[in-house]
Amino acid sequence: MPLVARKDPAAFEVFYDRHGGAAYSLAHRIVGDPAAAEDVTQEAFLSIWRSKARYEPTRGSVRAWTLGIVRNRAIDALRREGGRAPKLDLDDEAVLERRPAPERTDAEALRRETARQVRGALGALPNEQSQVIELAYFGGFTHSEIAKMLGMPLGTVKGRMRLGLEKIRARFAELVE
Amino acid sequence: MSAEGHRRWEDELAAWMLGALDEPEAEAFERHLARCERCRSDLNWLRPAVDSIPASVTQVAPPPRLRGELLGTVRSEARRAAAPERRKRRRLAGFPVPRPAIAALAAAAVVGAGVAGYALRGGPDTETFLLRAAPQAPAAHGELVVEGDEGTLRAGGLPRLDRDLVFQAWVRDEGDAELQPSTVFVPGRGGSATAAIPGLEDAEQVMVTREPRGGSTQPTTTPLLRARLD
Repeated sequence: MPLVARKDPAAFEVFYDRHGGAAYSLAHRIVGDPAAAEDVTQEAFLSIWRSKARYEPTRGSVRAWTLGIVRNRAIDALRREGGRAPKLDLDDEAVLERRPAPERTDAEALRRETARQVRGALGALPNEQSQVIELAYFGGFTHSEIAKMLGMPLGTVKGRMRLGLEKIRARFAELVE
Repeated sequence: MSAEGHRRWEDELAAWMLGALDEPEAEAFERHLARCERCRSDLNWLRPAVDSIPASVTQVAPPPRLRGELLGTVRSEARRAAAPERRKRRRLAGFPVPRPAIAALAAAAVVGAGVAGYALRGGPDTETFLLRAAPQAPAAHGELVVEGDEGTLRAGGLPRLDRDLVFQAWVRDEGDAELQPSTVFVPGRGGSATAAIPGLEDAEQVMVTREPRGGSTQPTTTPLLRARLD
């Protein structure tokens, strides 16, 4: 990252090759359209290149930081496109039904294994918890929008979010141990 | 703060981390976070859980042109940032040309068909280069006006495009065999187009090809228009 910050195109190339696939995949998952996902990914990487976004090591890994930027850009794009609320609703089976993701064919075995474990952690959550997490993270909905959508109290939505995250985190702790 | 009182903030933390708080709520939580050691500790503990969520999505390979466009932009911006001296030289080269010299250059442009394009005239800050058409686009014509390290390509008589095609400009730098992808554009109904072409500080040639919609990372057809900038 210091080389990217110093505007080294070769370092940026390596940076893109390392994180571009995950970034595009996340954007695609959120905006649901290849062309829009391309725009989002491009905007996010150029904002990183132009240093409008600065990496802080205290905020976690470079990948997590990068994907956080991509996620925010994607949610913004959804909102721009559909007015205030992202274009997701209760009929969106991608959000409300769990679909196993196919394995990639590339050689990133470690990353694949991590993804598999994370999918396992998300998949192991009770549906009521994964549902609110996915609506917030991938759909960009606020807790009050989710509460209205699902017909439940605000406190219940926030409580389910917290319980879900704690369970995923505990699952990670088990994997590390 | 009592454990029960703090419970509220624990729930806010999860919603905040998922970007699910409304703006005023998020601001209130951030004020609390700034002074609550316990919430900061919880934040650090939960962060890997949120950071891991993107890994759960189906991996989709990005189109190769995305890489090409991004790297093209990045290299062009890096060159621009690194070459102030060159820009200065090009600006100096754009000082006004005496009228007899313009006439001589224009005459050379007409008779000198073996070379791709010619500097015709300059203003205080600009140089203008002729675009030369390839035989497969006999009606095409135009010019490239360069100011500093950026150019404006104005072309007319361009052939019609199928819906899935665009025109794309390419820049070849001095001493570089590789063509850098540049602006993608579509002409109007009359076959004319204007396109901004950045990153010309080291450019030796600018070309235009027909490419699939969205552009390419390397030319896939032979150039229809060319201009030499030296």
